[in-house]
Amino acid sequence: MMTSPPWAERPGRAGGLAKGLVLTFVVAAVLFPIYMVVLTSLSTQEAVSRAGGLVTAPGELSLAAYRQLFAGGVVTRAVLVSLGVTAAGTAISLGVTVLAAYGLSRPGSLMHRPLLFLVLLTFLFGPGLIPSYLLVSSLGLVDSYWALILPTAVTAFNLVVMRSFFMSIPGEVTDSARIDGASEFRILRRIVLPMSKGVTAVIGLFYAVGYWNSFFNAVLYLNDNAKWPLQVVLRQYVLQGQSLFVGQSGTGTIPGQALPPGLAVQMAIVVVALVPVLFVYPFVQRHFTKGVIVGAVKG
Amino acid sequence: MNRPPGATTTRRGFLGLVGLSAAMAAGGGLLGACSTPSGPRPGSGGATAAAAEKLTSLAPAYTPFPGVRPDIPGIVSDLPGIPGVGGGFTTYPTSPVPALTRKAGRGGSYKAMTPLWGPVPPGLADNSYFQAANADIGATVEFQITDGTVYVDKAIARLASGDIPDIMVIPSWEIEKMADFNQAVDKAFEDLTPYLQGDKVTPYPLLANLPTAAWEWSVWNGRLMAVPFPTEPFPFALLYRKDLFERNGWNTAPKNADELYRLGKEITDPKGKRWAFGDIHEMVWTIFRIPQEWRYEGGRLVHKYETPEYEQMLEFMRRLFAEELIHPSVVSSKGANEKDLIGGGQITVYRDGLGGWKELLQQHRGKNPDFALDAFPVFAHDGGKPLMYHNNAAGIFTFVKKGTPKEKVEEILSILNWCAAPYGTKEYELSNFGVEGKHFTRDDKNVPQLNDLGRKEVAPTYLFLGGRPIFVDWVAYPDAVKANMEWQQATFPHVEKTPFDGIRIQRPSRFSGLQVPTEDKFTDIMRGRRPVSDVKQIVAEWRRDGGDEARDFYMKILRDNGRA
Repeated sequence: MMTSPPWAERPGRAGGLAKGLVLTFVVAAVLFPIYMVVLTSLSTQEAVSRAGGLVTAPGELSLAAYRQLFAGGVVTRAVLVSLGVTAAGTAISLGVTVLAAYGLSRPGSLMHRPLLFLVLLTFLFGPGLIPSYLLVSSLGLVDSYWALILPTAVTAFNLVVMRSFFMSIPGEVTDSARIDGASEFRILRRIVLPMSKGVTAVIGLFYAVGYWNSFFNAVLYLNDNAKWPLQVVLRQYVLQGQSLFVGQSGTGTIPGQALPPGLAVQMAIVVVALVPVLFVYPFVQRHFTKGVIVGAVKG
Repeated sequence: MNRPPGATTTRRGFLGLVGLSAAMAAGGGLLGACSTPSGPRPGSGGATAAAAEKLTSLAPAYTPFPGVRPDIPGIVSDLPGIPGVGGGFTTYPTSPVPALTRKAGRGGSYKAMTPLWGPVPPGLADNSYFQAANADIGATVEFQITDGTVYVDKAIARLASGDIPDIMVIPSWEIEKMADFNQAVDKAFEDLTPYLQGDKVTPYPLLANLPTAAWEWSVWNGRLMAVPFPTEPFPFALLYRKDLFERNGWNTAPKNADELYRLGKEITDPKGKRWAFGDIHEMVWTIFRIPQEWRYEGGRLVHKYETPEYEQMLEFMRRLFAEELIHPSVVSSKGANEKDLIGGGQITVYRDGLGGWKELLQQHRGKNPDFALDAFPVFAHDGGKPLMYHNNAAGIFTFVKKGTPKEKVEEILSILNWCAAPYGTKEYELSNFGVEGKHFTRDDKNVPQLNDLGRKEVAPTYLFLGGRPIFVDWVAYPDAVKANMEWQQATFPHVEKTPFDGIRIQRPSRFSGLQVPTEDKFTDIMRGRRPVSDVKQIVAEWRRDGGDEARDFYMKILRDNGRA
């Protein structure tokens, strides 16, 4: 009878049970907070007050928090802005990153060492706030959606991961394509990219999440409030009533100004900000491990 | 561009250079609920001071606006740089008066950058409230609203790049984070002295209605650079649950530290989930007559940490902590929400700005009509003369872009004049509530209440352009207005006159940076983690690390101003 190594043996009944329990616990530890957040966002103010915070047991349910959030039209608009920026930004970022990574992965391509050095330099030194602003404003990008995309279009980390993946593709494959008369573009499109679906999906997700979450650049570069993406708009809700300075001194508080938003609204904000990423993740997830360990095993 | 920390005042400095915070721990009270009033004041590169007389001569001539009279009169401050007490309204004026007789604007169009801590309203094109207010003004103001919590980053970037909006609002606590604001202010913003100094303010009667003390804070480099947002005098008070106190017959006017302690003993009942105190230690400073920052005695400046009273205060606080008279979640975490605790009756006394009073009433009066708060009359630890700290007289500043043509500057000032319309005027009502019937309706007490459209479109925007006299205007709670006003009037005579009142000083950054680490050490003493005898050592470290250097800096200011 063939003996298998210890880690490949079927676990005993007790072992299986223990593993099951541990895994269940881990999954619950991840899911329970999300469950609480979603449930709280769907609860009435009374249910939240009774629970004294996050709701764990379903009580009266209501969509009031979401209605309040979407009532003004400001949030709806911001969702569209964010979707647009995310779609366009991810496409641009992926395109540029793939092209740059491919070029830099080919041995002997023009100036690839100095170029790579420049890219790696941005790992170590980020431009400061003011130089970035000066650049963006002198390019005339203030108050333009491009200000959210162009300054962050290429991330050195993603570029390096992708480059090392491309380098792991055996030279024989591309050589044979070249013998068949394929141009570099054709090799990239027909040979290299189809072999790199995993890494492309992962890097695409990284970029997309980055664009979806873009906050600081938006605060900085967009003066026109109608152009604000979702995260900036949502944050304003969370801030509500928090630090109005006159509020502290008291007498000058703004009459008629609503009280800080209920917990339900805050949790609805979390849900709205989270859902798209949560929705996309399962589709990319199977590529994830493969994509990220690329750099790890390549010597 | 940074001058070394601790740089002394220069001749230019004497002539009226800048400086932001006169020695005030309490000035930080403006920071709002998210931070404690004595929080750290990020230092600026330079450290300068401006002389008192110069500031007063630059201010516009004060002419009170006769149209609105509060039900309870306030106190006009004649203390240099210290805000007075605004009046109080117990009812909403039956028919708001128009503050202006003719259109403020001349059809110009301006962009204004303002902070906001709340949901952003729809933009000008889709916002009937903005449109209505602009129509009344007679000019187009388009707001560039920016998240109040990251305002400084954006403001710095715009100042550095020269991308300045026509009208720019900058809170004082953000200015203090800008190392080179003294220089930036001249490059970025228009000098308003020729438009507003002395009697030149006449075309803008509502700006003339702003207190002189507030204007004194608007001076940079010897020029009037901004329209100030006035504040009220007191950073905080000891608020207590009046309803619980009356029901239980507790002492609502402790006369000395021992009575406060005994009150704590009487109230605290951990089994009944009730503790006497929240975080009260900053008010305990005043009870022990610790100076707001420096005390000048015998030809020498003594810092508050060095006073014997500070050590007494630490001993007292240590006893409150040791005997568990302070709510455990306040003890354990800085983030405990004391408003929730006092609202739920788990604590009965805490330190807060007077604004917390109104907020708690809004949250709890509806469900519990008996819910009431009040503030302990100020008292001293030994039963002697009490002492109270004061705020800086202006909290936010509105600047006009440099290079704006004269007639445009005049139009902008005229718009700011409109925005300065005080409580009880038509303009105030429009800028705070929108249009009657469209954005708000009146409740049974005649008070405007926003409707759905109002909640969607009306946001504090015009409110931040300049400022207006501060009134206690909680007309929904006339009992609280009376109690608040009585407390303020009774407290005002006890406002501490500091050695530096009326002089604007920008703290040396090294000195500012010392505050948090030093006070953390004192906190260790209060919490019983270090013996009280360590005070000497902590003070020695403080002196070594910049305290003595700061003392020299401040002494020079006193000498330069002829006060030492």
